Amino acid sequence: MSAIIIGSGVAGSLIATALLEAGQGPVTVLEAGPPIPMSDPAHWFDVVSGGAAPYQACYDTAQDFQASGFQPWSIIGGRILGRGGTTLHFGGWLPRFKPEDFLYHTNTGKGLDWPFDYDALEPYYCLAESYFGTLGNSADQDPPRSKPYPYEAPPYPSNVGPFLDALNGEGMSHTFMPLSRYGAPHFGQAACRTTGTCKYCPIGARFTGNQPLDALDGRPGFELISNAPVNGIVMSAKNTVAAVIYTDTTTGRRHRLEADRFFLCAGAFETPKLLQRSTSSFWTKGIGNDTELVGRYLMASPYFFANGTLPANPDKLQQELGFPSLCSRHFDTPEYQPEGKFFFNADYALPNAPIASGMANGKTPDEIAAGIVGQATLSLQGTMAAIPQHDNWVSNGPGTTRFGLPTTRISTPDPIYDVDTSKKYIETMSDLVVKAGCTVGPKGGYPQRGDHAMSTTRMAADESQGVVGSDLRVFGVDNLHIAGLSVFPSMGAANPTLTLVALILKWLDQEMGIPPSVCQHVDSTSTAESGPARG
Amino acid sequence: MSATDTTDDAASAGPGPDLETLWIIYTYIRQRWQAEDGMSEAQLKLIVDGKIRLYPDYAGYYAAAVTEYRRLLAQTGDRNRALDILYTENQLPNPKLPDVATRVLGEFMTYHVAFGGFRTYGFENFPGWMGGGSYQQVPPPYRTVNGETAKGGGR
Repeated sequence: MSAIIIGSGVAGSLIATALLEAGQGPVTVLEAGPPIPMSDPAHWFDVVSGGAAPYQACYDTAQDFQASGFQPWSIIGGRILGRGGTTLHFGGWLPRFKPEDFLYHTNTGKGLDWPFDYDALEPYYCLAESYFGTLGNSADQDPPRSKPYPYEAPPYPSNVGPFLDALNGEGMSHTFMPLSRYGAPHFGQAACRTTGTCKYCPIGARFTGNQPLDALDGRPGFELISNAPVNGIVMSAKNTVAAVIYTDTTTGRRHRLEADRFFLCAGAFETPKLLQRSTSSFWTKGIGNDTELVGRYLMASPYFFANGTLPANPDKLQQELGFPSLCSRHFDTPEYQPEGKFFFNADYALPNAPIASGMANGKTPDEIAAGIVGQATLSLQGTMAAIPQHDNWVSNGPGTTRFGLPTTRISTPDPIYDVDTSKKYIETMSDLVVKAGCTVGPKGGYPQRGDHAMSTTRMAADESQGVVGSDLRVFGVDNLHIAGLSVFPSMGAANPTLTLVALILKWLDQEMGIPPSVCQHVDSTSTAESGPARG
Repeated sequence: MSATDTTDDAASAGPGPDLETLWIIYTYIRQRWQAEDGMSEAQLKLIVDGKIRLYPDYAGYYAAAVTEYRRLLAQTGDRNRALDILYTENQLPNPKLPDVATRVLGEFMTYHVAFGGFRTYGFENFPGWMGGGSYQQVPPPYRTVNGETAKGGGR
């Protein structure tokens, strides 16, 4: 059965791999954006010297969206439109959702519950952690886990010591941030060498969305067409998709592509926008949109921070590990769910010794050394679980972007978090910064960039409450599925990418009849590569 | 549409960068700030060629740095004196030649620090350092909260 997948990000590439491994091809992936060089030496040297990573050319620009409402969003830098999608730049943070996150409506009266609970997803979390090459603290049973991480977390780096002391002093729980960082060669890439330029790794030692696609390149039955924004979906009947129309933006020509099955994996903005503009006599308001829920319940992770200044840095604390480590889920518990849970971490990139800048300003070696042990900045940052609001939605805006897609209209009249609660968490972080030995610095919230945008085609029991069922099939359409954050009915406080892949693996196994074992990098029988014991 | 310009036309138009002189300019950093690093001349060539491939304007920045050094060398008759003036006159915040200061000298300083110069200041690892090794090593290639280190030393 032929398949068309729209979107080449983490969801689309996983589905493409699974379908082909199960002999269910051919598969064509359509990607609106261009190919993007990854692990390229010239680009890496440029990043080291302060240059931009190549995927930054595929961010939205100010002309690509219109935003209004509560804290209008500015989505520049929040997503990548290019081969491999937004995980090209994600930090690889892979915490699991907590059990209570799947019972959001039951516990708060808001939003929807998931159609399954944490225990049902747990085995697939283990598989997803294998897929991503994840490190973590296997002794941490919050949330409970049935298998160790593929790689054990290393010791905390010295630069988080002050925060570790502060958290311990306050009796707040902490753990090592679960991360995609390869402890051994994975996906044909090298093992991590703690180079600390994770946003553009020279050796591909963390998961990025191009890696599964690179593994599929040249495989019989697989084709990826870049620079191919989909203009619309064509129906042959109300319940049957016949084809998609896309534009080759390199030539300007439109093409019609037919298949037996269609999978929308274009993200929480483009998936609903595509459905909305795919109108016909069968679907006058857009596919799956008779109840006008497509694009609704838009939310994203709100981020907050609290900085502080150490009056002196005699231990020369410095970011040496180069990726996140210390994090806390102390407020990511059922007790805090009604008011909004909070997940926070130490900023791994601080302090950052101003050696090169000191040299550029003509400082002597002794002056630079004195500066290193002088004042230093520390920071905590965190995110709250957002609230799904019906009137917050995304739709097609006027004009088209350079990627050939309609601009994005983002309307968020209702707040996605309780402001008083957020202030409490900011003050908590600020207090911890002081207990870490700092004087208080700037604190507050970051502008909303749309990170982890989700829920715009959410899972529900029926079309009166959502767009897809637990089988990820669009209500009323037999051969159209959606896989992406857009199907999430609720958000946890922690990052959602691991949950997304776990969800897809579960769906592939239980709804599509494709067991995870068919995916080369998902070892359903693996035990932990526990790594060497630490002294 | 491609995310980057991968054409070789700009790099092949006209004479290439004077890598020998750029290497002289680079290695002076070690002398001036009394710190070694692991950069090799071959690696600098990779960096310079890559910069020009990505951003053709860099050919002009490198040429300007070379031209200024040669002028100072002709003026002073002494290599070290010429290099000292080149760096001193192009310090921030008011450099004589802003592009030379930021896009050549400043970036060379960043590479020097990332590719080993950081060790002089007592750090075990630094963003950009490829020699650190796996986080699974015992001890790991960075300073830990328990004081474990893979290697000692520093300013």
